[in-house]
Parts: sequence; structure tokens; C-alpha cells
Amino acid sequence: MNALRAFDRALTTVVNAFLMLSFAIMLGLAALQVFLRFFFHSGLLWGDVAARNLVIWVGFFGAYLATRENKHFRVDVLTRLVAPRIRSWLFAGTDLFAAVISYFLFQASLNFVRLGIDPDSVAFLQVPQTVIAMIVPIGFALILIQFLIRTAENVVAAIRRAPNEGDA
Amino acid sequence: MEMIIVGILLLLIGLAGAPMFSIIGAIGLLAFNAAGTDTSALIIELYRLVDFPALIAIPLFTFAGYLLAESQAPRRLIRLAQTMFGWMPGGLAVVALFTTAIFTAFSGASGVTIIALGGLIYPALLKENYPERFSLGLMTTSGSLGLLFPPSLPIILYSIVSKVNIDQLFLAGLVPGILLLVILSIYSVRTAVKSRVPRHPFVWKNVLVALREAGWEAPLPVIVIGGIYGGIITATEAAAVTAFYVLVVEVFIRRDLKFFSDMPRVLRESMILVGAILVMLGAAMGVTSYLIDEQIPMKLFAIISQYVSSKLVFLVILNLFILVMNMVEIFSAIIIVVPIIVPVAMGYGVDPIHLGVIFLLNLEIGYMTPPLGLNLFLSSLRFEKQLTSVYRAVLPFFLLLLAVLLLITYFPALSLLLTKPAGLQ
Repeated sequence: MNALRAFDRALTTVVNAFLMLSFAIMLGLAALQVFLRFFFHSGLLWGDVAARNLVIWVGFFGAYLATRENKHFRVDVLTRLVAPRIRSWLFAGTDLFAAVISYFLFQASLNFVRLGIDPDSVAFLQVPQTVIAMIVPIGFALILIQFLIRTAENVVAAIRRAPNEGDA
Repeated sequence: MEMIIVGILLLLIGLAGAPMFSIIGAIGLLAFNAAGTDTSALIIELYRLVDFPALIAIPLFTFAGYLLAESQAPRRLIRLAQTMFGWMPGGLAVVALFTTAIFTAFSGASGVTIIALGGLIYPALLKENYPERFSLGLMTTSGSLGLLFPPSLPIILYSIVSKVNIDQLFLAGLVPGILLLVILSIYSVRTAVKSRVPRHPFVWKNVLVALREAGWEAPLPVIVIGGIYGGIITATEAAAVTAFYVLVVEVFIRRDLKFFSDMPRVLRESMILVGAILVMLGAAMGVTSYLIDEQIPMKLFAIISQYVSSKLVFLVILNLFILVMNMVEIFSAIIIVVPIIVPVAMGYGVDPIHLGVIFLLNLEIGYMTPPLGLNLFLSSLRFEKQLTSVYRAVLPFFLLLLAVLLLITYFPALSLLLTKPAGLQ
């Protein structure tokens, strides 16, 4: 369990760094575009496209963190009512379900990058579209890993009869 | 038969607390499999999100809202408003209505207003002799008031899901939003006069002091809301300007927040909300395209129109339906319900922009509808009151909002006054 937690922390640190970086570039680009338009009546041709693509990057990193902190939107009428131990089992089961779905979405997005995008198409500047779109399989893989970790954590919590921290 | 069993199974898994995005994703995967389409088409639909210009407004406005909520800006703005309008009968209550509305619009309308501003405004109202029940009702209402004003997150989300132009939708919300504030203000003034709330003299010096304190933040609603309404900047540009401006002011000029300790935390927290919304939105894109391809909304319209022929009756039934849906969870409600009902409503000749205003006002009311509205729980927690007394306190406000909803529903012109005739992009 300790090795798993260390892995979780390391992975989250990396994702955090990427989140900050992609957000900073996104905000910088968006602000720069407005500045250029207002004062010079111009703008970077690729700026808007790049910023919009970065929203997807930011979104997937955020979704990874949302998984880790149990912040995905869910119906909580039932989980709020039951005893902590049963709640842990329910969370373990539903997190495992979400992991399975994430796996299928991961596979679908790999196929999307391989088959759905023209390998020669360029997103902006010299960056190929396939590189930009890799965030979708990477994102679902990250979410999948995190759901598996959460499942393990919740099973352990259920067996130990203690409610997992952070599951309000 | 098989489909029904799978449907019930997914419903049960959803009720057991599975993340909504996984349920929607499962539906998408199953639907595409059944139609014999490769599931990568599901991701093609997800990736179409990149083509929505308004998409970037979601992370930028959410970030700015979270920053503002963590700073001292709300405190400064309320002080300024109070020095300016405290002389009016019911001045503090009216100030509370307008400032919470603006705050809610900026903070994404997640009920955070009650938590963030409740401790500031509620005791002040009681101290000024406003009745306790009125004050509690006002604070509970404030959690979702302002949802019709830019840059509230539900409007942006609605515009993306329904493919209605976001600037047009912002314009459409203006008159109904102000109408709502005016009616609640009249009620507040009446209450203040009846309970003999003291009035404060207007002192220029106090206004100037408060203005100097709030000088950096006070222009923000004017720039954003005025800029969008005036057609000077688009909603997406406003998002970039706001995020950048708020970051510079709160971190570098006012220094309410520290760059190395507070900033990463606020960024993380706000992007967690954004990520949760986007992954759900992405999963729903595929399902929506499947529903459209299978002409499900048209079939639904054919069935409903057999029983309901009048547009007005349809809208009233729709209102009831949305109110119930919203009690489940509002962001999911927008993402799941809107793509289905927009074509149905258009079958009845309802303008999609008008429908948007109706839908959003419904969300606003859904937040405070007993027994499950989120605001009621937040209020009960924040002010340490029994849920039942919150229900009672919120009742007059609830009825006023309901009356406005009926007006908005019955008179489309209230929403379409400022918009261009063509609703679709």
C-alpha cells in the first residue's frame, strides 16, 4: 500500500506541474491575443487554436485531480445515507466501474489518434495534430490509473472499517 | 428487452454513486457498439469541443472567480456599495442583493456565495434590525441569484451544449436578471420600512475612502458586463481579460494572495471543477450526436405533441420537469437534458435563446427549491439553522422568483428584447 501511495504522490506531482504549465500558456496566449487585437488590430494566427487545444489539456489534468479528490459529479443520495463501511464498498464498486469505462475510452481514444486523424495534418505552427490529440488517451489513462488507486484505497478502508479520508 | 435491462443496471450504478461521466461514457460506448460504429467516433465527437470558441471561457472565468472568492475583494466591494446606497430605505438589503448577484455570476454559481459572503452580510442585516427570517431567506436566495448575468458558468455551459451564441445568450439574460433584482429589491424595501430599519446618512468622505480601497476591483463588473453588453469585447475575450486582471490585482497589487503558496492551490481547486465539467461534457458529446442521428428528439416531439398542442402548456410542463431535474445536480442537468429538449422546444416554435433564459432561471430556482435544493443545505449549515426554518424563510423569495419565471415564460419579448432575431450560430 505504501508503494502505491508513493507512486500516487509522484504521479500527482507530475500532473500538477503539467497543469500549471498548460494553464499558464493558455492564459498567456488568450490575454496576448486580446492585447494584440486591441492595440495593434492584429493577432497570432495560431493563437486561438493553440489556446483552445490547451483547454482540453487543462481539462484532462483537472479531471485526473478531480478523480483523486473524489470531486467528479455524482448522485450522492444513497452514499450519504449508508454506514461508512458500506459507503467504502459502494465507492470501491463504482470507482472500479468508472475504471473499466475509462479503460474503454482510453482504447477508443488510442484508435482515434491512430485512425481518426490524418497523420500529416498540422494543428498549429509545426506541431502535428496527432501530438496535440495524444492528451485524450493520456488523459483517460491517467484517470484510469487514479480510479484503480481509489478502488484499492476504498477496499482497504472497507476492510479496516474506517471511512476513507476525503469521502465526505 | 436487453436494452431495458442495461438501462436499469446503469441507473442503479448511477444511484450507487458512480461518477456521471462514467455513466454517460458507458451509454455512449454501448450506443456506438450497437450501431456498429467504431468507438473512436465517440472520441471524434469529444474532440469537437476544440471547435467551440466559448470553451476557453470556462477555465478562465472559473479561475478568476476562485481567485476573487479567496481574496478580500468581496469585503471591499460590499463596503463600497454600502457607503453609496446605505441611505436608501432597505439600503443594506438592496446592496446585498446586487453584490451577491455579481459575486455569484463571477464565482460560477455553485452556492459558494452563501459560504463566502454569508458571514459578512447576514450579521450586518440582523444588526440593522432586519427580521431574522427575511435575512435568512435573502441569504439563501443569494446563492444562485445572478446566474443570468455574465460570466456565470451555467450560461456558458448552456451556450456550448445548445449551440446558441454565447454573447446573444448573455444579452438575453440581462432584462430578466434585472427584473428579478428589482422585484426582490422592492420586497426588501417594503420589509425594511415595515420593520423600521434605520437609515444611514450619505457621507461623501466614506464613499471616497471605500472607493479608494476597492478601486482596483470595482471597475471589473463594469468592464466585463458592460463590455459584453456594449459589444466592445466578446465573452471569450472578457474571460481572458478578467483572469489576467484579477491575477495581477489580487496577487501583485493588492497581495491578498501569495503567488507561490495560494496561487497553485486556487488554480488546482478551480481546475478540478473545470476538469469534472469538461470530462462529463466530452463524454456527452458522443451521446448527443447519437441521439441526433437517431432523431430521438424528433420522435420525442412526435409523441409529446400528440398530448400537448399548446406551446404555453408545453413550457409550463417543461418548467416543472426542469425543476425536478435540477434537484439532482445542475451541471449534469444542463449537459444531459439540454440537447434533447432544445429540438423538442423548437418543434413548438420556442426560440432557443428564450428557452435558455427559462432553463437558467429554472436552475436558479432549483437551487432553492425544498426539499433538496443545494442552497437550502448550505444556508442551514452556514447559519446553523434547522432545515425546516430555512424552508419557511425562503418561501416568499421562492414565490417571487416563481412569479418572475412565469412572466419570462409567458412574455418571450423580455428575453429577446436585446438579441438579434436569428438565434442559432
